[in-house]
Amino acid sequence: MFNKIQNHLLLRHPLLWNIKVVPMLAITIALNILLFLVGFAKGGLDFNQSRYGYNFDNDSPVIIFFSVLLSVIVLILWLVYYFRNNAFKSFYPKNNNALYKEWLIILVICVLNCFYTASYMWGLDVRKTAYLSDKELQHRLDVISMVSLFTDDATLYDDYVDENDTNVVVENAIPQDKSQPASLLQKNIDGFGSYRYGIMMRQRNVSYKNRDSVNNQRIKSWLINGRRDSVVKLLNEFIKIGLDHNLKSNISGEEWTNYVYNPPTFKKYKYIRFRQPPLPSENYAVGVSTSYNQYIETDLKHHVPYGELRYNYEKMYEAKYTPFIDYKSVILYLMAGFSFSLLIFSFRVTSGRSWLIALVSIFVGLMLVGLFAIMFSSGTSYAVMWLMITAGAAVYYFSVTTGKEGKGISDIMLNCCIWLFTSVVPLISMIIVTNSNQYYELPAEKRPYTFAHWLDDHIPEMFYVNLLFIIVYMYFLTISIKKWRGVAEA
Amino acid sequence: MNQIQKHFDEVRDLLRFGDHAVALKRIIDFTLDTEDISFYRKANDLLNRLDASPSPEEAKAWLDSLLDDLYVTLSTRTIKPREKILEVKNVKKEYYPSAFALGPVNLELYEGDIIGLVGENGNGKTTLLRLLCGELYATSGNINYNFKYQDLYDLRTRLVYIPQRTDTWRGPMYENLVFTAASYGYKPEENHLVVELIIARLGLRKFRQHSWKSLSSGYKMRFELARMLLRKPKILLIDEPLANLDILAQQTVLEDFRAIAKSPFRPIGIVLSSQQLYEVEKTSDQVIFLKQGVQKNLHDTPNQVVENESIEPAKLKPLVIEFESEWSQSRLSEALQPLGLEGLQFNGGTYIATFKGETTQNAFLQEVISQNIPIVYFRNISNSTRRFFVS
Repeated sequence: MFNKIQNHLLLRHPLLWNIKVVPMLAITIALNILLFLVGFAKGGLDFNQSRYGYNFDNDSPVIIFFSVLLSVIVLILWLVYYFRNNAFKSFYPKNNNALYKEWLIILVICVLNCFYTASYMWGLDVRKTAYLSDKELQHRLDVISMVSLFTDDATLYDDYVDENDTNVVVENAIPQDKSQPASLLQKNIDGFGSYRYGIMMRQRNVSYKNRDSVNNQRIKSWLINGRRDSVVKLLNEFIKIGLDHNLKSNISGEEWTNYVYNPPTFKKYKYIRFRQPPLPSENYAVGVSTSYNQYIETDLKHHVPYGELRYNYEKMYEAKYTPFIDYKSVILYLMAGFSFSLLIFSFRVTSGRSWLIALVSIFVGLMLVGLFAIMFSSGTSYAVMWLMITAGAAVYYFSVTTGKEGKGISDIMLNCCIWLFTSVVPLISMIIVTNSNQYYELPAEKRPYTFAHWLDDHIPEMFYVNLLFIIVYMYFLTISIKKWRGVAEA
Repeated sequence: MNQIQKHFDEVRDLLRFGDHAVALKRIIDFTLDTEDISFYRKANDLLNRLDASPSPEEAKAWLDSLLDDLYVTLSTRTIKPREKILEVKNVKKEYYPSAFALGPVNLELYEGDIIGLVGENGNGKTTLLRLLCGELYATSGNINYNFKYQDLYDLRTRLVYIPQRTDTWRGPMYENLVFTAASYGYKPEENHLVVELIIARLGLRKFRQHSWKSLSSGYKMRFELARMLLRKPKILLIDEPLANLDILAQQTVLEDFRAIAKSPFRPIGIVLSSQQLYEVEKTSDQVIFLKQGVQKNLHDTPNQVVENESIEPAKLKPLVIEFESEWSQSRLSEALQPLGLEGLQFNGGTYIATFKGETTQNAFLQEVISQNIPIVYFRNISNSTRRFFVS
């Protein structure tokens, strides 16, 4: 079938045939779907796993490694076929937009080829978010968050204050005698927004902390206002959530409430075991839990699947509120795809020799400019020098395209232009943000919210703008490249 | 007899004398001239039937039949007058800091003409070709292309330059040619037909699916020519096309050049460089000799003829004979004095004898016979660029 399609393209759209666009789209899309499905299959939750157990995903690093390897292999195989013919270098007729079209197709292929890891991780997240509706998940997260007050996950407010986070509201602050068990009123729930142990590439969802704060206040207000029935209902609901996942408790909500609900001080309470079947070593009736220097009696006869639910709902929370793949992380994959497309395109329109010289020159330049920037000790000198180098390369290149003499070293400069233009927007942003740092010497309330501050708060958006900028400048650059190609070599 | 009639009569003679291979090439040329897909199909059908090794009579009948059809179609078409497509005026190319400089070079190229460039190595032949194809810029002077083009890239799509060392083709040869044809806008339904015809035209039918590495230098050159034909250039510039070819292949390639250039409906201008003086002189309409970058033309251009007549109307060209003999230089000099010998050089195993303008070639031969001078080879190089090499 591919041969038939390729033959059709060869006769009608030689550029598409040359790029092998159909097989490449088919392969890259198929691999993305495959890795998504692998992620989806791997993303299932195991409700027997508890946060108190040893849980490590050994497969994901291996799959990620192979997805990167797959990208490299597919790229190399594609280039072998793609580089077989080069109509542009052979001076076959081309209209002004042909090179731009070629680059856009390369771009799509490169981006798709860079997305295998993302597809896998997206699959992991999608599977986890598919268990429950958003509303139900939110509700259950609230239940588990509030129940955490009666577990050793609850924290003393003075042990857990994020000074940088102004959203955290500390209620009922009572001085604490650390030799005595703390009152439940002095403790805070372990909300999901404070969860800090997400693996690499996940971003914390700071805004969820507001919800934690609300939940914290709600459970405390039930205790303060003597709403025992609400507590019983909450614990029953928690036990029911466990049953939904075949996780049984050997205590009712009412009994559990008796262990923890002792108004008005709420200083006398007991823990129960927070994971399901007891380990053989736990075959004793009473123990002591130590957390935050608090010695709290623990009744090991009873258990609830808190550890299991906490662990698995954290996974669901992560998938929903701190997903691997969101608009911030996608920019990294897009940038990788753009980078590859520009490297391949520049090689295609110039030569291997000039491509390599340009690459080495830029690396050497990076080091030299870095050295100068250190010597001048100026925050923006590095960016300014790079912008000047970029402008210099552009002036040289464009002077050749309009001149009547030979190309000289414009092939090297063209490579530099194609690559360095990608850094113009980030460098200008860097200069703007760095120059605005003077405002930080002022108190927060006196700082004007300038464009620089907006820029500083919207780095991912700036990179998206940069990608748009690349798409726009490549249109004009590709037209000039066709003109440049016609210029005499020497 | 008009020009088309003449072309067809030549092919009929070839068929009459059983030279089917050459006749087939010319018939393919006519087929391509029609630019008619029904003729492409007929010719391809013929090629397939010829692959089955029919009897010579059968083959002749088929070829005659197609030739007649082609004549009916082409004889009604008018041939456009040949136009000047290239004019080079006082072009110089200097390389800094090298002392070598090419030029000033002046030349004119008309559609259907072939210009041969000859000269020793390192005297500017390749430089001139690269100047003409736009690969090099001229330090001074003008190169004017008398056809329309949008920009420099567009110009260079119409000038096909085949360097001595061609780039490697990747993938099957046939696929490359189909790609070229598609890139040059051949319709999907005619693409394969035209490619097959051009492959057959250059005797490459057996090598369609070969890879570049499995081809000899001669066949590589032929594939380059096949690609060039698909590109329909205004000017073809070829550097040393005869290098690495055996003598038969050289003659075939030169004959192909001549047929391609002189096509009545699709004429192109060709500039080629070569070390094969006599073969190039036979094929070319003008031969330019380059020595140390300085141009000498074999034939005077119309302007130069008028100029020379006005200055030295009575001056005759000397007779220059190249020959090989076992006699010594002094003995030969003495023997040839009666003919008005002006100079006798010994050059690489051959003698170059220069006589006064009134001496004729026949007089030289009579003298050789009368004095019983033993010669194993001789050539009159009075009108060959060979004389520039030895002067």
